[in-house]
Amino acid sequence: MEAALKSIAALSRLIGAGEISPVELTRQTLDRIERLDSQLNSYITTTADLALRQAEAAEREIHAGNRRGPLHGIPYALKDLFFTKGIKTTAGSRVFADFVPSYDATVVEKLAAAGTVLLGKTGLHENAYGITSNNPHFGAVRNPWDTSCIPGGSSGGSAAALAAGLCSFSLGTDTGGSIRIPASFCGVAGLKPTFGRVSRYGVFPLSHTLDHVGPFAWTAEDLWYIFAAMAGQDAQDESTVDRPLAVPQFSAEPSLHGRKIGVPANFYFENLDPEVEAATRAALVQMEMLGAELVGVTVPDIEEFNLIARLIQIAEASSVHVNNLDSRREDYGDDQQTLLDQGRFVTAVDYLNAQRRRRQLNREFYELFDHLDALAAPAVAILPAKIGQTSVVVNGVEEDVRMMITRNARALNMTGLPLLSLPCGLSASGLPIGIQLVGALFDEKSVLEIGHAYQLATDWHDRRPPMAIR
Amino acid sequence: MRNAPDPIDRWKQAAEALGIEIPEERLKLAAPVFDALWKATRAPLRRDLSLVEPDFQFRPDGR
Repeated sequence: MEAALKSIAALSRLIGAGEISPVELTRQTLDRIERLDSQLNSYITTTADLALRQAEAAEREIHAGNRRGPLHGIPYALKDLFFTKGIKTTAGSRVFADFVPSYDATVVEKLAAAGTVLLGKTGLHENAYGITSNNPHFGAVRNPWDTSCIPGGSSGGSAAALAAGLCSFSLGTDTGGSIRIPASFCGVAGLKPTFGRVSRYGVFPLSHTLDHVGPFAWTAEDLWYIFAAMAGQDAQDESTVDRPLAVPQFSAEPSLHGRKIGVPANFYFENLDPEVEAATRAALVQMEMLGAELVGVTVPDIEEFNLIARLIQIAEASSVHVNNLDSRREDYGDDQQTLLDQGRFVTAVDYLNAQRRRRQLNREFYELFDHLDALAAPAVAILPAKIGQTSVVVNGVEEDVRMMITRNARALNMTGLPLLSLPCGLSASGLPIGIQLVGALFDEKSVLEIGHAYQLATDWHDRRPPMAIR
Repeated sequence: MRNAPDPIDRWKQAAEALGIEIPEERLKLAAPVFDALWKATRAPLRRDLSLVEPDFQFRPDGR
């Protein structure tokens, strides 16, 4: 396997042993971007010169014995929603197509301090407001497993680039599933940390009470390295919290003895593609074989959660964009206009009552974790859709594609709970399937440890799209 | 508003009353979707939520 397709943990060992240098790895990855990204359109901007400078600096420091940690010299990509000083940051929008920030987002600063190498900025659904990454201004991002399919969104470019070996990890944001959906559709791992764990300063907002920043990588262990480098209170973002991180124990032997994993009896397994259900249930059986106790649970009313989440999101997003929508409507894509127009009708009373009801539902949800280490469910209810596909038949019923894609993801953003999506199978047509693990508030440790044990016992995270290994 | 004959007219009236400028052809796309969401959220939002503290800056741990 080419180095660019390896995990951070593997690359870190190779760099530490002097078997590959950050410059070699960066050059290899830039070559792959040059060779393969015309098929995917996963990058909006590449920063080759900067990347090589950063890789050379990392190499010098490492040779001098000043290794900063496992991310030192590792090349990565940023969703083009994160402010990067002196580098165009478009938000996938024509409105911001020429915007060049004067400062870096806090997480960009933190990753630079960890010695990472920035390869470029990845494509996304316009304004991070949608789940296809079919962008009218920058073109559709394509799924490396089948380029006629969407990679999911809104962080589609970040997941697609990782899956194709066009970076070694990437960052995304998740407001209604925008990390977990593309992670699942592209066969990679994604972490949406607890709300408040990671600063959003210098990240274009969409919905201020639902937005989260998180990483994509191949493994739970890799996600921890990135998350640990990014997490922490930030004076620039008052939603962040001062909570110590509990360090996961990534044992060498896969064991889930003593772990209680909740399996929802309602909602999450009720309306989904049969192949998604089979793969998810097989993953649960695997976890049980590793010693986990599977516990049937009833989750709060997710249909209601989803409705309230939509109401909150359209109101918050419209408040962000209303001035630009009035003055530059023609610069917004069709779906953006439809969504942003809707949000203007939400009354203050409805918005506040939605936030009140959210608090009630969250309390019910949090109580599940009094007796569980994690809750497990399919990350997405259907397989990756074709680009432009608007409906899908599930169990004989025609459904709206967008509603089915967000069905299992959206409500969980309301809770702020940590969420881990892991690859857990491939369909008969070769498309990835993901399982999501939900943890208690601020307990990223448990979901990452469970994910690590599962990955030790399985090889779904070692699969690569055929176009990436040809 | 309740007596308006269809979703588009209903929300067109609301837009005019509130001074929200939405082109006619765009309103035809947005109104039916929002109308369905608006109707679906009446039951949850008509609960008595008066004693639940509103949360202006979402804090998952209740701070």
